[in-house]
Amino acid sequence: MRLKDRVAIVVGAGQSPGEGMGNGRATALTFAREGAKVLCVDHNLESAKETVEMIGVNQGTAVAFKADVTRGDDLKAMVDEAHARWGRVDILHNNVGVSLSGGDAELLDITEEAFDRCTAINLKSCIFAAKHVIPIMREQQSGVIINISSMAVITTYPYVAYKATKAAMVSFTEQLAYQNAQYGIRANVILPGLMNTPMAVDTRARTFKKSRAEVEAERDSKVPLRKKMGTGWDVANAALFLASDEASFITGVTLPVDGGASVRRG
Amino acid sequence: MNRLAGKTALITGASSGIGRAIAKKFQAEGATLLLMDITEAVVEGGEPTHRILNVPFFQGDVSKEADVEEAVRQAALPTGRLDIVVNDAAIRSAKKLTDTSLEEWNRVMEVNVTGVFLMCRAAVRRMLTQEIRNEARGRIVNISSQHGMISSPEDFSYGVSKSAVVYITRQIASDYGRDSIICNAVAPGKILTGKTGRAIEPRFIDYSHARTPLPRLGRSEDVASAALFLASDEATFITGENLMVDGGWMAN
Ligand SMILES: NC(=O)c1ccc[n+]([C@@H]2O[C@H](COP(=O)([O-])OP(=O)(O)OC[C@H]3O[C@@H](n4cnc5c(N)ncnc54)[C@H](O)[C@@H]3O)[C@@H](O)[C@H]2O)c1
Ligand SMILES: NC(=O)c1ccc[n+]([C@@H]2O[C@H](COP(=O)([O-])OP(=O)(O)OC[C@H]3O[C@@H](n4cnc5c(N)ncnc54)[C@H](O)[C@@H]3O)[C@@H](O)[C@H]2O)c1
Repeated sequence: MRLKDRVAIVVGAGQSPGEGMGNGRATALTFAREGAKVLCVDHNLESAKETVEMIGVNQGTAVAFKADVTRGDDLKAMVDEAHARWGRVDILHNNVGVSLSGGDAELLDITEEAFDRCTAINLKSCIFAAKHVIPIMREQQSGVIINISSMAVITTYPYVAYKATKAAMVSFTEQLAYQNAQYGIRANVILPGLMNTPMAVDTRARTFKKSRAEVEAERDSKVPLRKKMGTGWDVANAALFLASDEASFITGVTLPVDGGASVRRG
Repeated sequence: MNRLAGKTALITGASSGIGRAIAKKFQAEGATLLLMDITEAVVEGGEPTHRILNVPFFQGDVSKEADVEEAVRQAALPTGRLDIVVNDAAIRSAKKLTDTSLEEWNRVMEVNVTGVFLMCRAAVRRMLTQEIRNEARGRIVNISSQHGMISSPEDFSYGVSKSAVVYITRQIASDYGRDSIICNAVAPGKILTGKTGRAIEPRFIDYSHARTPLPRLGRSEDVASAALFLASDEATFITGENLMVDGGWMAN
């Protein structure tokens, strides 16, 4: 087991409504399968509990925790909970992110409220989660932070807040990496491409009043590799690699998991 | 562990350093191997890699078309497939632009660029004839370098050659993605392979430490683990990437 006895916090470990497996849930399941104790954090406690149940079925260790990532106090409580319960925090995985479902829009349509909301959910969340976990990791002289950004950073994407906040996550992760390397802490960022997750596919089907199959076909056709979207497991496997000791010399990197979309832009 | 169980891999430059570590790791993960190198002598010393691992060795030069074709043919003999190619073989010239002779430039290009071209061509031709297994017809892992992205201290042709490897990787990923061929690169930062001489001259070690945020420099195993990840079924939606294994150097 590649994460035996590690303590992990997966933020956004629940899942948007719809079919299939989200990135956050797949990551929580993968970390637990590899031996980590996982705090499954979500503002939708029911959804986080579902993830915990799925882990329990496979004899893994996980606990659900309710937090709204836009609230600094919640993020602190989340870190304190993992630390108090298991005595350390080895992995912080920031998966929460919204675009359309947060009210994101093209420039001429975006409202201040929607922009502020998306910024709080996507960017402020990972910065303040890191702020609370870093003192513990410095004390331990070890720790790994993984931020989930998006391929939208390096390819075309229409909505303003998502593009800007996800790009800022990359710069923040680099800063986190070089400012904390001396303490043995690593920080890396994953850019998922077009994934077949409920968050991406079902949300679009609802928003644009299309069938799931239509949205799938459109997205599949845009992926260079096999003309097929990836899955939550692809992101989870990349996160597992980065979280494990196998990546102990890897920090500050941006890893696209995008089926080659970023080498062929547009 | 069996993350490469049932897979057949050809590794160039496998006698020494990083290539040797990749060979060891791939075997430990269950791969069937053919090792290729211009010599079985181990740069950092020790028993030849193929002897330790008890696997077949093809002595050949990656810059020679016939050698590369033959290596690919032999690699696929035991299982009828070639699932993974790792292009690790490379040479350095250790000369600045103004000190580089045409012969030196040509030799670095021959091994580091033409060698990768020839091997990728032979491998992709072969892979295109294979069935898709676990979502891939075949995978290529090229060993590039942070040099070529940032300047290579006093080694002009080497840096140029390594930037070409990154480009080769992207182009193959893009052109053959539809055919389920996966092609990625690993870009090592400063890796201490056990090699002596210029590689560990104090001025280069000091330079590397000053620029590497993590407290230690790299080990061959760090690169081997990244190559394993990209060669395994875990990396099935990643292609065209150049994964840095550099202790944070490029983020700095
Ligand atoms: N699916 C894709 O195609 C794709 C592409 C690129 C990037 N991403 C990124 O992947 C991440 C999410 O993927 P997913 O499939 O797990 O999505 P998801 O929506 O299924 O899961 C995210 C979870 O975050 C929770 N959440 C939302 N707002 C929250 C808040 N304020 N506080 C606490 N929890 C909150 C949700 O309840 C949900 O359970 C996002 O960062 C997204 O930007 C996805
Ligand atoms: N060590 C580092 O710090 C570092 C950093 C960045 C990139 N790299 C890259 O990693 C790879 C391995 O580096 P290393 O330090 O282990 O090198 P090394 O010199 O120890 O090993 C290279 C191997 O390639 C073989 N080789 C050379 N020319 C060949 C040819 N024409 N045909 C077949 N085999 C040939 C050599 O015999 C040797 O066994 C290279 O591609 C190198 O550019 C290394």
